[in-house]
Amino acid sequence: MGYDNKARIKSSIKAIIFVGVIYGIMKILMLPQINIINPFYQTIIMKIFIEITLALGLNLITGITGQFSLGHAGFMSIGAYTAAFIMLRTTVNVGMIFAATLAGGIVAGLVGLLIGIPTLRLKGDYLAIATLGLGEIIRILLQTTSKDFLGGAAGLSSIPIFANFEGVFFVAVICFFSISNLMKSSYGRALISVREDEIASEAMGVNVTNMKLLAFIMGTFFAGVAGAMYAGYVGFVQPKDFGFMKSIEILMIVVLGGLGNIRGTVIAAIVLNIIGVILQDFSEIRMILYALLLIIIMVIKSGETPWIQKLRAAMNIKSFKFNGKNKAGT
Amino acid sequence: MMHSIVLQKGTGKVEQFIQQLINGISIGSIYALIALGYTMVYGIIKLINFAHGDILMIGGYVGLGCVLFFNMSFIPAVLIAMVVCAALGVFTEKVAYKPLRNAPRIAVLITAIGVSFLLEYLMVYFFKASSRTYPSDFFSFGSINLGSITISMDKMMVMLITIVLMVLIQIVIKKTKLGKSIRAVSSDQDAALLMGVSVDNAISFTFIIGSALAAVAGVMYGAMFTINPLMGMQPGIKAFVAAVFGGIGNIPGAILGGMLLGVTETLVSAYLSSSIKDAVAFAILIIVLLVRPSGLLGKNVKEKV
Amino acid sequence: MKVLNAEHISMIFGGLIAVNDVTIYANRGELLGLIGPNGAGKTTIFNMLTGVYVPTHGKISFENARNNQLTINKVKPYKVARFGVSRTFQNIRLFKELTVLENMLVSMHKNIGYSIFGAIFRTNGFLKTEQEFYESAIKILEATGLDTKKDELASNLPYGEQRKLEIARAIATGAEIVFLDEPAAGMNPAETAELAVLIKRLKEDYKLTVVLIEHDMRFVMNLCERIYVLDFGVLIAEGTPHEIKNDPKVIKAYLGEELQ
Repeated sequence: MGYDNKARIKSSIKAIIFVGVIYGIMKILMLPQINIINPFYQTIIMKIFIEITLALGLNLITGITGQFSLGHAGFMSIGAYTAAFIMLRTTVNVGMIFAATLAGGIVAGLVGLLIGIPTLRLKGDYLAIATLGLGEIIRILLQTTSKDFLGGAAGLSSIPIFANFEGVFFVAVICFFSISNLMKSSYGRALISVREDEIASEAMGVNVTNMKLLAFIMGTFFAGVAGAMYAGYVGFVQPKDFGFMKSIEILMIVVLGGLGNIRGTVIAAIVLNIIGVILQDFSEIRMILYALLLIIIMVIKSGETPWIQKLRAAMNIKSFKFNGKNKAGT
Repeated sequence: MMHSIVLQKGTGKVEQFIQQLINGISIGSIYALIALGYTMVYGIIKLINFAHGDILMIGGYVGLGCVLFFNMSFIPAVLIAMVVCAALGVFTEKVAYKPLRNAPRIAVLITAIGVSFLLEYLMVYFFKASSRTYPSDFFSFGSINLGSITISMDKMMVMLITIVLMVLIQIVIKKTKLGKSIRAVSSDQDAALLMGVSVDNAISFTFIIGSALAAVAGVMYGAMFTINPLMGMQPGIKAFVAAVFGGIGNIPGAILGGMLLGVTETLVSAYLSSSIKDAVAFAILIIVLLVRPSGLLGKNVKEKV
Repeated sequence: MKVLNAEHISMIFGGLIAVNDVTIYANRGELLGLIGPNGAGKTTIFNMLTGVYVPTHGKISFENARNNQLTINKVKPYKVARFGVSRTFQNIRLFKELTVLENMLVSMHKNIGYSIFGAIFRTNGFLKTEQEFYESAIKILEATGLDTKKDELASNLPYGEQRKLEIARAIATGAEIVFLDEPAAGMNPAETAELAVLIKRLKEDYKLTVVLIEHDMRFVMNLCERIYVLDFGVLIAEGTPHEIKNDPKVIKAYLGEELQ
């Protein structure tokens, strides 16, 4: 693995061509004359792109940096409400859409920073519970807002449908390449080193606190952007749509795709949404299936019983690595 | 939400305050019962057992089944719920948590979330999502008047049952061999194993106690309010907050935390705003985690390098 | 000239006095040994010197080649590392899911010459920095004989090479002082001898001051120029290997006292 200029530029060009081809194919399939991707499928594809953005952000925080967050939906709601609030008060044009989406991301990222500074000191399951609590606090606070401000429990409705196919597609693409390029840089290595061993990372001169904050701000920024897109996609936002359940759904994508694996996240988002469409009328079966998947994945990936270890060796499955499990020495 | 506490009519401010205090302690008793299971499981295998609230829900349903189909009274219904929940608790431990005993804590936490969702949606699938109620005379002991204060005997019963159970648990933990094995495994699993303590039995026994207490809480909670498949989440998370508040892994801490949380929540609901009641519990959680992660009665532990 | 100066440092955990009023120093380019029975407080001293623990009493200061002074009192470990003080760990703490090369590159992150946007847009600054990092990491890997394994995951290396990688990673921070916590633990005599040669060479090549904890007496006596002996948190002897070998207090600490 050398670091020569040419290889890097070549891979960048390849990526751009790849994205262009995907976009072109989808656009052609969407043409009314062809109509393979009909408007119904189109809405599903848009939902997938929004969830890819959400899950990639969470993967940066939880999978790559090892900071377990159970409050991702809270940051999504901040982006959604910010964008909805702006779009309800301005005329709809490309500039405003861009500004509202960016504002959604920035506000969510700022809240992420404010929350991250005190809470990222916590480790492992304590951080998980704190973020769960913060996500719920955000939801409850949104519920108590006045009708004219953020709509209280009823939320905001009649939001202009400002997110189109191009919008959600390019947001997901930008998110993907930002995170994947970051991963291949010194920042990415430092983030992983924090996950692998905080104490060693700090001893090698990495400012662990800053690294955690970087991941948290970037992850919550993308959650906010995805939330903004969501608001402009469904046209209404309600506090109850951003509860603990939603955070778990996003986590589900990250776990299924593999913690720290960004391509896996994309594939998992697609697969889970297809399952969701197939089981559309049986939502409880879908949830049972998700729950079973969570348990089975974790037991197979991290289980220590001999038959599970054998299975893992036979199928060449890597076990998960998390922060906060270091055997003590003296 | 589901368990907004009905205010009883009191005339003066002091009377009202006392009544709120009783309300708070009774809901706090239920939190304490649930928190005990959380804290014992955390103490022994360092797992935040997310599914613990759902064991409570199952307890509520079993109790209701006993009443509706077999016309049982409170005590037999509770006993059957305890047995079923204890069995379920041990089953989830053996199937989902045991393979992950030496795995990273986060892996087990994710598994526990999976178990929680599995129980919830299996119940939705088989018994529908709608709320159900216990017959009104199932857990009803009338009320007495002390001057201008009306005291609901239902609430006094909840407190009484909680206190009796807590004393029993303390005796079991402190005096019996199994209790000693639980304490041994909690303080050092490897050393306990070397001393011939059966780690598996100690862990199973912990799940039995925790789940049985959750069943009692579930039946009482169901009788006071209503039951539905997702009812476990709210009290479950609250009880977890209570456990952390008191010092997770610490049994008296769980009781203290439960009571304090119940009272705080009720007072906030009565004197400030009922809509922020749930936010208060989470705010307490976060403040405790940041300021004193070991809780009110817990010990500080530092990572070795 | 002293590059490390720790004066009267103590560490008290609760009621336990782990390290009691220890004074040690290191001259530039010196190879120091810190020995003592298990539980004597050696690693605790390393943890204080690298900022992991804040000493209960006492003062620790460093001086680097540019004559900058750093007094560490509640200075975070990463700042100590950035000043030019690095370490290895007794219980190996490599970044297991990163490759050998990436482990090295993490140590250089502190010198990063591009921003997050530089990373995302792969600017010239990004490419230049990455190239520089790569070259200097490879140089150290070659010196330790790990260059052929640069793309293997750290967790896949054999034990002895993991210990070597920890040393290489510590040097990659650009450190001037390196603390090695039991570098030869778990190695066979041949590997230990090879390691001694390696440490000596790296010390010369990278102009390091080395302080090491080790239980292998032959290794310490052959390698170190000066030795501190610790027992029950107290410094009981200091001197050249020859002096230490014949010090009755040291013999007593290791072998115990004969009953009268």
